[in-house]
Amino acid sequence: MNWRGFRAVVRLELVRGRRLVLWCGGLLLLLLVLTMVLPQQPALIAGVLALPIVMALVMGPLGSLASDKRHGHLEFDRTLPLSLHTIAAGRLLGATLRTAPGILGIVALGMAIADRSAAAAPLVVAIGVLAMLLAWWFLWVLLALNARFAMRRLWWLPLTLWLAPSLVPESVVERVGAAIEQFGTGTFDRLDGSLALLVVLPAAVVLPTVALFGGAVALFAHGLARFRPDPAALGVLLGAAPRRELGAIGRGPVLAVVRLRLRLAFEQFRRELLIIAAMLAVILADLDPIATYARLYLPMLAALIPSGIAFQLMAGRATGALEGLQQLPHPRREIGAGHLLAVLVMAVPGVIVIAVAKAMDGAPMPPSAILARWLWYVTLGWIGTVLAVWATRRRLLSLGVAALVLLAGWWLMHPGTSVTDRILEATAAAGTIRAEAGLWLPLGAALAAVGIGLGLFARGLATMRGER
Amino acid sequence: MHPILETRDLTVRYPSFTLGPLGFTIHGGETVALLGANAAGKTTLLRAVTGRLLDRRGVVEIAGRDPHHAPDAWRAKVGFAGEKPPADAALRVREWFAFLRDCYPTWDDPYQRDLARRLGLDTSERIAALSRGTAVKAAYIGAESYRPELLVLDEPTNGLDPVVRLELLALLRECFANAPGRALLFSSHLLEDVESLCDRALLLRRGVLVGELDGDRLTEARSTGQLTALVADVLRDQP
Repeated sequence: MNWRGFRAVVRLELVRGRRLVLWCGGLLLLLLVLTMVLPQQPALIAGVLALPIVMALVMGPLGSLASDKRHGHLEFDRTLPLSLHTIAAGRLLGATLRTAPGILGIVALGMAIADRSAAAAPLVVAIGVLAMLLAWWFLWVLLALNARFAMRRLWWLPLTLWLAPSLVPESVVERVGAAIEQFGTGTFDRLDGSLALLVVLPAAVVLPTVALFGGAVALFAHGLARFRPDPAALGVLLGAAPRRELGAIGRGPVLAVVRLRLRLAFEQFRRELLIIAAMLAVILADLDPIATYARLYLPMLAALIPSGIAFQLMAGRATGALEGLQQLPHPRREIGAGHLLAVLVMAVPGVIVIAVAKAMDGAPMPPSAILARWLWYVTLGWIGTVLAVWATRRRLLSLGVAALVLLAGWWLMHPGTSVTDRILEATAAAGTIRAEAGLWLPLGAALAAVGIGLGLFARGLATMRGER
Repeated sequence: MHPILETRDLTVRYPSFTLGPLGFTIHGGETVALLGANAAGKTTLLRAVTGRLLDRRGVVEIAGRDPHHAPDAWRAKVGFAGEKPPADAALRVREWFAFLRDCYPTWDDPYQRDLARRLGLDTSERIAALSRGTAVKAAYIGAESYRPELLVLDEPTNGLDPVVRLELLALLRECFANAPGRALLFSSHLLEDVESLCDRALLLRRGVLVGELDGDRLTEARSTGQLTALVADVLRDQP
């Protein structure tokens, strides 16, 4: 192992993420201090606010890896005079260190829940470290999977992992459970209580950590060895230029943008469309147990279709290709309207897929339910599209601060109210509104999203700065 | 003694384009230019010979070893510079160089500083903030500072202002004039660069090597001022 090279890889991973680490670490430290000095209810709010910051921190290395894949930097890594396993281990360790300040956020939440009890502090810190260890396991697995595969092709994985245990026969589950219990009891019997704690607990933490880290390093290195720049990951931007569609822009942007986006979206999700067709065939033939799982996977695939436009815009923004849209000699609202129309159209196949699947299943959807589903797809697809153009770190931070101010204002107006009670009340109220409003709720949501979104899209496009 | 670079039947297939089969050899002390029209396959060829491209057929050997099957440390024999450093845009140039220094045992810090000074590169700038020309300079210094046996440059003078371009060409001449164990392969559209720098030129058209200008023909074309016409004749895509 080339230790000097290994240290260089770790250091580079830390240096490239330092801005996010400093910002998030500072905010988490502030929130930890706030949970210690504020009364219980606002302390709890501060503790809960730490969670999205921890999430952002954990997602940082994934963003860096995505950027490396987009720009083809993994090809360069392959030419370094270091073994691919050294590079992989260095990157994973660097990612671990980058996310370490997340412990502050988990401790902040724990201290708020434990009402700042000094006696609970050691336990809270221990739980914080263990929770962060779980986050690192998750991060290593995600990084390794992302290095080896195109993540958008792994849409089936989370649900499959969730469903996999149900596929194991009951007798096997019982036998495995009995074996684990027997092993645990036997170990505790052989060792006295305190020694068992000293041996078993560290082993229970260290062994899976070592196994997961080793496995992730191997998969990451395999990904480096096999990496090829993926044109589809860039929203087919590197594919053949859609000359006919681009040429139409001179005759007015709305329909031209729709044609361009639809062409790219169908090209982007060609494989997924084939899978949808296969799943519908499986449901029609009622091939159990596959049909049962196909019914669960279909909504995810159907939602992917309208969200494809947001993916295209995100990829275009990251590669600077959106500057072309920025320079078009047309009002930016019209360009936004073209994108909205594309989302409206792309939501149709998604809804048709669901409606057909339900009809095949013998439970046809009423027209109002189909319309409501279409409106929700439009709303969410359009919000994603607008955010892909409008969202910047500063704007998202402003939104976060505004939410914080609203929460603080609400707390000042309702002193002494339990936060959890209010959250439960709000959830119940939302459910009632959804049931009573019927079609009006998705319609209102869609109209509000369109009304606000067009302006934001135009503003985002006008002020967007592409990556160089 | 192995040649620095040898290719035999090198082929790269894309759905709409095929490079090769190509065969050529570059020996130590040579500076070789790769000329061709846009989309002739120059960058694909350079990526294939440096081991970046996985999907290729045929033989590529650098100092007697295939880049895909060579030991890790052997990869320090090859340097490649494209239009910008292959690094995170948030990094400063000096941070990128510090990374390379620790990865390449032969990295020469004083040499790197000298190159940066001569090309006027401010290493405290972030990679994201580099202009096109400055990014080319940073990429070149990153690839040259460990003195690889084969240095491969993809359009190195593209985007450089005239003063820096002349300085870079002078630097390259200096580096490779008395270096029998090293070779330079670069692609370019600028025949002035070819005239002033290289011993030999390979001419690529639609993925196929259609000609080669050796030292004598190059010298003759230089002296008569016919180089542009000669290259254009070979590269002109006539059915």
